[in-house]
Amino acid sequence: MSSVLRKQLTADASHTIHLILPPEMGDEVEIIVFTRSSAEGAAQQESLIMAQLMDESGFAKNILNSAEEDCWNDL
Amino acid sequence: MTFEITPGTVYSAHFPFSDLSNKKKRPVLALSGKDENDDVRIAFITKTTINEAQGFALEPADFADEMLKHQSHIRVDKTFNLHISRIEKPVARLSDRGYERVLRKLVTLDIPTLAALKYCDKPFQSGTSVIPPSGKVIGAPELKNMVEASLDGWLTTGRFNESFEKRFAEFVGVPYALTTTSGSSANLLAFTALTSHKLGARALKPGDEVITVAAGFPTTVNPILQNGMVPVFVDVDIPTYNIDPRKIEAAVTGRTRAIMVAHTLGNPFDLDAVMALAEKHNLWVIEDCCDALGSRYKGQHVGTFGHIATCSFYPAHHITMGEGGIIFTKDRDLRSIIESFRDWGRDCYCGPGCDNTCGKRFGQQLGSLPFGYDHKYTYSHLGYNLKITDMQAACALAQMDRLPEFIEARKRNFAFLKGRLKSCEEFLILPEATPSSDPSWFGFPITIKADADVNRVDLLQYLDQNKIGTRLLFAGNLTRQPYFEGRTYRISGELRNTDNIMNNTLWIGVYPGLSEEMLSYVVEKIEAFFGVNF
Repeated sequence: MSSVLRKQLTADASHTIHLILPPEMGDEVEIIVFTRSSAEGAAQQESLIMAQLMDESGFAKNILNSAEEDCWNDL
Repeated sequence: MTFEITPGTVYSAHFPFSDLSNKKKRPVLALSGKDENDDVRIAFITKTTINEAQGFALEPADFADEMLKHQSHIRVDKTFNLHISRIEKPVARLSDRGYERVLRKLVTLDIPTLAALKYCDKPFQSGTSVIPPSGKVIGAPELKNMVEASLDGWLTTGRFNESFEKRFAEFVGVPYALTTTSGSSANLLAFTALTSHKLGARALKPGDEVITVAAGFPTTVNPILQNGMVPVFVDVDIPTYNIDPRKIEAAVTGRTRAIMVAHTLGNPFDLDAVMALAEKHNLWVIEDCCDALGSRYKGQHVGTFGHIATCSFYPAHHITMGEGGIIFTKDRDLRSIIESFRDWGRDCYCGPGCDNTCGKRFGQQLGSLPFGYDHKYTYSHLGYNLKITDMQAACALAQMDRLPEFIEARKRNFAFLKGRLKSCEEFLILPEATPSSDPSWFGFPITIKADADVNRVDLLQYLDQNKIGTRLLFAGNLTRQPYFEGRTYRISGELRNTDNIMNNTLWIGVYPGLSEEMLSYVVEKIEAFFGVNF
C-alpha cells in the first residue's frame, strides 16, 4: 500500500483545495501543507525539510550535538 | 555566499542544520561541488574518537595548509547531502594526499557488507549442494586489498608484491621469493634457471637426465622436456603417493644432474633420502611445493631443503591470487638468475619504475655491445616475461593472514576423513603421511583395492551424481598421455604403482571451505556405495 502521496495543487477563490485520495491509502491520512509560491521557494523549503530530517538523525543527536563537539563553535 | 564549494575543502556548517540562527558550528568536508539543487555531498569531521570502520584521524600531512585546531576525525561512514545555505565559510583545505585517503576510504567502505553477502557460508543441503574438491576462500580483506591495488594505478608488480614476497619468504623461512604468473611458470623458471651459463660447469645441458615421477601434474615434468633434457621416471609409493625413495638410486646414471619432484597432494616426499642422494651424486634438487604450502618435514617447511622450490596460487591451492605462483630459494645467485629469466632475461635487476639500481647503468661493457650500452636493455638470458600484477599480489597478501587457519582446517578435514573412512578399508587404500612429516594436505587420495571388484568410473559417476566433486591424481601416468608420444624419456624399473594410480586412484576435497557436515555426507555416500554401514 502506498504511504505517501505528493500533489501540487492550486487553491480556488475561496482558498480551498480539493484532494482525491487513491483507494489504497485508506480512510485516515495525515496532511502537511507547504507553500509553493515559486520554484526557488520550493527548493528552499525542501532543503529545510532535509535539514530537519538530518537534525533528527541519531548521529546529529548523539555525536554532533554532544558537548565535546562544541569545541568547533568558534570555527 | 561569496565562495564556490570545492571538493576537498573543509567548511564550517550551521548546526543544528535547520536552525541558522544558532551559534553552533560543525566542520564538514565537501566531497562534491554543489549539484543542480544546490546540495553538496559532505562528510562530517568530529573530535569524537572513531573506529577504523567509521573513518580515520586526519594527520598534519592530510592538510594542505593549517590543520584544524582540534583533533579531527573524518567520518566517511557519515556522508550527507547538505544545502549550501547551511554552509558558512571555508576553514581548511585537505592536501591531495589527505583527500585521496578520504576518497579511498569511501570507495572501500562497503566492501565488508558486499563480502558478507557474496562469500558467506550457504546452508548445506544434502544431495543439492555441491561439494567441490577444492576452491578459494576469500572475503573482505582480499577484496579491499585488490581494490586498493587498483586504485594505486601502478598495475605491474609494486608495493603489494614487495610485501607479499617478503611475507611469504618469512613464512617458509628462506631469504628470497619471487612471484610469477602460475605454479607452472614457477616450475619453468626454477628449472630453466639451472641452465644459466652463470652456473658454469654445474649448468644443465640438453641431454642431461632429470629424475622425476610420472604420477603427477604435467608441468612438474614439462620444463625438463622444454629445455631439451630427459626425464627419468621412477615409480611412486602407495599410500604416500610420492617418489619411492628405495628406487631413486637405481635411476642415477652418469648423465643424471637433477631431481625435480612434487610433494604429492601436500604429502612431503622423503627429503632425507632425496637430499642424501643429491649430495652423494652432486645433483640439483627442485621441490615442487605447488600443492604443499605449509607442509613440514622434521619440523621444517618443505621447499627449504632443495636448491629451489615452487608454489602455486591458483584458486584451488592453499592460498590464492587467482593466477599466480612463486619461486623461493636460499641461494642469492640462483635468485638473481631466476629473476633474470622471469624479467625478459635482462641483466638489469631494477624494480619496476626504477633506473640505475646498480649505479652502472651506462658504465659497463657486456657481450659484444658497445661500452655504456644501457644496462636496462642488456640481456644475459633467453628469458620470458612472467611477472604478475599488483592486484594479484594484493589478494595473496591478505590470504597470508589466513594461511595458518587454512592449514589447520586442511589438516582437520583430512583427519576427519581418515578417521571416518576406516570403515571402508576393506575396499580402499587410505593415504598415509610420509614418516617424519606433517602435511598441509591438498586433497584426500584414495585408491580402490585390486580385490574390491569395483570400477573407478562407477564410483566417480556415483559421487558426481551425489554432487561430490572428485579429481584424479592429475595425469595418472604421464608417459601414457597423448602429448608424450614421441618424447624422449626413460623409465627406471617399472611404473607399477604409477599405473595403479592411473587406473584406481581419485581424491576428494579437504579445503577450508568444507564443513564437517559436508564431509560427513561424503563419507556416508562412499560407505553407501560400498555397502558399509548401510
